Amino acid sequence: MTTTLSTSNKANLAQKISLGLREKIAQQVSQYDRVSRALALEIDKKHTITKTYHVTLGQLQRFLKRLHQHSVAATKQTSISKKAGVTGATADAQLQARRERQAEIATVLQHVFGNLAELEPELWSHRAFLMLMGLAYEKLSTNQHELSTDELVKLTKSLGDACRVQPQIKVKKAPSESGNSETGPLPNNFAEIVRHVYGTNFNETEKDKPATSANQSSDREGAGR
Amino acid sequence: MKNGRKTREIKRIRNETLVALRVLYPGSIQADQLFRSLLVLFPTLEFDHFKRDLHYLCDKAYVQRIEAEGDDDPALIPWRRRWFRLTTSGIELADRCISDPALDES
Repeated sequence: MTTTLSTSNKANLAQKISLGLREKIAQQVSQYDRVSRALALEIDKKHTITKTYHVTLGQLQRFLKRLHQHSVAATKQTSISKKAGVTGATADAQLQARRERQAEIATVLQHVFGNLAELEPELWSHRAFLMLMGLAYEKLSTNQHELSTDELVKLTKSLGDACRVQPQIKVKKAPSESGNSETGPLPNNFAEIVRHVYGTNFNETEKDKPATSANQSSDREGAGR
Repeated sequence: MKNGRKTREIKRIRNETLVALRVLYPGSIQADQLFRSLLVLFPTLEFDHFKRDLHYLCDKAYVQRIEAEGDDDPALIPWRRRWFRLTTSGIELADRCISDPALDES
């Protein structure tokens, strides 16, 4: 028996998946923790993944579970037989079922990840993004929703790498901003500069240091002579 | 040498590979993930056979290998972990804009 979901149902289900994922991500961002650094995703207002955000492993599991729930509905109709050595007629039916399933998968992927063709081209060489999409495709087509340890390790590694790149960019920008801003934070060696200019600073623990350094410098001068 | 596989089965596997890559176009997928998704339809498929088909599709310029950023030496990456996606010719074939008698199942 083959029945398919209506277009509106498909769209509703896929939208629920997108919205659910966005809500989860919003919660996670507010509960920012170290674990969330491990996995990175970013979903913009159009429900498309564009850059990187923080998602926990648990969230990814739930995301895949939602995809699975959608795929279960699709699979019930397609009911792909796993028998080996099938006859021609059964093989054609299987192939037809497979094609229908591919169409369902394409709909889900498009709604969850956005219009693939319109996304930033840079993403297509972004390993973490490709891995996540590939994983979603594989799980949908094989009707699974659990991540294996190996998959988790691979994902965590690649997404962790993606996370590591971002802070580096921020660190590069920070010195110029702090240096130019009059109201920004003081440079790390500000106390040293003040002491160098005025001979002392406001740090009580270093009150004695100028004296010792002054002694040392006079010693050096004496040694030089 | 077909490794004991029937011509029809070979064509079906190659076509299904193109269909799967079409779903993800312009994205790419790892050979291992693609292989596992094909196992649903072809439970007896072996990776070596699939690798041969993938090689064939690459040689026909329907599929191309993608080197993701951060990957080490491309030659050292095992086949299962390599990324593949459709070329422009590949998407034309998958969309049935062009035909290839070697992949025509009828």
